[in-house]
Amino acid sequence: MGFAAAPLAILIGVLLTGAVVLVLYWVRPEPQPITVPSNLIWRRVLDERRRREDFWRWLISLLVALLASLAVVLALSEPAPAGAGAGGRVVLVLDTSPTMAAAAGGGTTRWDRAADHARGILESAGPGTEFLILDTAGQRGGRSFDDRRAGLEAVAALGPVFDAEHALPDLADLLDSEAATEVVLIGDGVRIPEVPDGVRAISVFEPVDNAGITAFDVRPLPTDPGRFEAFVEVVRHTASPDASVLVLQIDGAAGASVRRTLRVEPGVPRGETVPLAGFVSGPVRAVIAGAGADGLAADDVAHAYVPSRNRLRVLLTGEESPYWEAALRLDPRVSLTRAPEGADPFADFDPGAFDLVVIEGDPPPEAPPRPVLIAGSGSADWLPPRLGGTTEAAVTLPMRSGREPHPALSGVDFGDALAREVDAFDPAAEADPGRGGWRILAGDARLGLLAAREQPLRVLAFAFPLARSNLALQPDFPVFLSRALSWLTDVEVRRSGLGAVRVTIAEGGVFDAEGREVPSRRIGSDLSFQADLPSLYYVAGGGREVVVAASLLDRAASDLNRSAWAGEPSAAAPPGSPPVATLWPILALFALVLLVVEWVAFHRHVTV
Amino acid sequence: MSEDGTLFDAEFMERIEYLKLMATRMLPSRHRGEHRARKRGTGIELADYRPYVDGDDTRDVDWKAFLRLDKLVLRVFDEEADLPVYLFVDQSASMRFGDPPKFDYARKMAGALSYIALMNHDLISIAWYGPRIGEWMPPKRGRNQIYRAFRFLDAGETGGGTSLNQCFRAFFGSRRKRGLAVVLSDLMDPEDLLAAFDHCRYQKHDLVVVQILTPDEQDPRLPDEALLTDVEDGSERRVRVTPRLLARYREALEAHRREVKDYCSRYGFGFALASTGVPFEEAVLDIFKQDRFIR
Repeated sequence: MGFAAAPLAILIGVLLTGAVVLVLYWVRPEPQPITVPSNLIWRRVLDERRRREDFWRWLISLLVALLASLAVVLALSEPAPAGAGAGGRVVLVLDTSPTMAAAAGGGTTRWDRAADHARGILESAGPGTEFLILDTAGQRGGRSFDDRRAGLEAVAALGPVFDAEHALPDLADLLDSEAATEVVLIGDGVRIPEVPDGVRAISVFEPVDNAGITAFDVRPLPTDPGRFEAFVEVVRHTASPDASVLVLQIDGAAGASVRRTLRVEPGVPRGETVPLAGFVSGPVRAVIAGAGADGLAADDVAHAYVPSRNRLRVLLTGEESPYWEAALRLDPRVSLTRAPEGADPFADFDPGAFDLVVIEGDPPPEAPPRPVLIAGSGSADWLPPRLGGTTEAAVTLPMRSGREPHPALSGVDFGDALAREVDAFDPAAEADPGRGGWRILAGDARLGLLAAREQPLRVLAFAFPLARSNLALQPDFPVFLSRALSWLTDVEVRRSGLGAVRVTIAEGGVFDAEGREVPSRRIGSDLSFQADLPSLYYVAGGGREVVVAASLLDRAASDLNRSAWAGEPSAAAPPGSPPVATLWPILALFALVLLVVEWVAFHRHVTV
Repeated sequence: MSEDGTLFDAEFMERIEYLKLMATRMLPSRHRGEHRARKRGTGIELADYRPYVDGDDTRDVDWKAFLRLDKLVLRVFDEEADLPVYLFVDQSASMRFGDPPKFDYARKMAGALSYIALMNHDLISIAWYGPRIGEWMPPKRGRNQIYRAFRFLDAGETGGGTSLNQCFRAFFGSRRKRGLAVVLSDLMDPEDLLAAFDHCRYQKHDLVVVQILTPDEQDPRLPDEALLTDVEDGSERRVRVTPRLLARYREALEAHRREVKDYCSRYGFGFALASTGVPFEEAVLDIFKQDRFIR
């Protein structure tokens, strides 16, 4: 039998147990004084008892105390049976990719089985074995080996991670230096197909059919920005070559619902556009069902948000601009108020009575307290820094490729728009978070022509007066304006994957769709929370509310069977009841029972 | 004790009258008022015959038997004598325990025995004893002495330790007429009781030992942890009371009782155990059953 505990721990165990025994012997009730006619008989009894039974009582008590002490010390020493293996250094790499959340039969998931295997290795290892627990999401990046208990705690703290890039951690140093006696990778071979030399792979892969939503978006109709449609992409992965029938249901606020039956070919994504004619502004959820066995529940549901269609109260101020006025009046949602030129609009009008302020020309020194759409060349602290001077430039979109288009510019092409008197924004402002979190939407690497920011209020700023360009004459300008108005005034909706979400918002809280508060913590100027389930999360604070639509929407995650280890048998379940894990609690319990029995026997005079 | 403070009230008298009646029924063949001593002597009642030896009184030779048998046969008579009854009542502090107190119980027994004895024309002497012989009532005879005996018993008080050995050495150290010594005590005597009884035996006195105990002494009820203080010598013993310990106590008490009883049996003495939990007259009758007090 070997011991995992250090000699110091054993010594502490001996001292502690001895102290406990002594205390228990010392704690005795005070005797009750009784006057008796004579102690003659008692003397005879007690003298006889002392001679014979006290000795045996003392001896038995000592033996029991010693036995209890030994049991406690053994329990603290974490004994392992002989032949449990010598000490060593074992590296366990756990695949925490999203596909590990897939069902693996018996009500478990691939992750459950992987964790069981890991625990089995930890608990069956020999005494003194050290462990390093790593994962593919980089949650555990340390390189220090620890004992079994720490390893078990590390495994318990891990789980599938949806919002990280998964890769096999760098094991070269461990393998080359032979710092580790064994390196074990436990996973399903989907995200981490490669197994380096010297690494023992344990597969928990089991093929399973799965249907999932891989895209879900609510967008305005190009022909009518006030109406919306939902785009849903579903996919069905199954071993059967036949097409599957899926039922897609989209539910919205106020009981609105749409149901479609889709025929989906195996492994081929199927896109479906669904008009949301009867849907009011608010949350909307897409659910697929009816596909038989389903390996991953997280991709069966997706969430989005239908923007508002209310009337927008717009205050137009600054220089006379027929373009702005004409374009704004074309939007049926807009209720326009024109501030006289030269007047101080923020003195004569209550900005709080408007949903949006549109400014043509020089900006006011202070930012209006409402979202702003501004076109002008003047500088202000609340606008992005400018390069200085004026120039002429073509308004090109998009500024950079490979980036998700801004909601205000989605589907917009400014064609041959040209602007004069451009006092361009400095594109470097985009890279400097200290400058207000601006994003340059139009221009090039030298000239920023259109900038947008989210915080603290949304602002869309052109680097030139609208009157000094032909932008308003472009065919897509009404579309842009409609999108811009929606983005500036609508509820702020963010789409997010599952996992950690960070929202730039002042002090506030996070609530789920049921109104329950979600634990969150502040990281710098952001509020961070964990979106573990597909749902809508409401982040509110500082007079602002952000709706986070968290959905998986990951084609790779939905394809559960694309495993490089598909041909290999899944590892058998680890053996149950490993001896080491159960031996020390039994010993500790045995010691406790002995102490209690001894204490009770002593104080209840069973053996005295 | 009665309302007027005396142990020997009308109720007590009724109970000893009952005792007297019971004693008469138990011993129908005996002659009332007459006791035969063990000593063979000069009485008129023939007790036995034995061969004549030199020195015998020739007046007791049965001449008719000589004529028939041609042998000298001597007639042996019981010597008629008054039976002195010495009542020794323990007045040590331990006797005040119990409900009723052992001391009251002993005094009532002594009163009852005195009454019976005086009614039988015996001599009665009562002595208190503790560490030494206390006040004592010299031998009295006659029925009219009963109230004197009652007054003596009524005036007794408890206190101090016990030493029957010292008391008997002192009491029987002086020449006493042979008689019946009755000891009424709890026998919780730290000194050698048997040595005390030996004094009695060497003086050829008859002896009846009555051990008086309370039910609590016979079957103690104690808390788990007790500090026992001896009321006589103040000694303390700490005990952890367990059923096993109590059983051992009962065994030790029984061994103590058996030691005295075996001694008494060996030398033809009487022994009785009286519990204050039973009426005292039952204990008195138990003494009568031993065929020693009334002959």
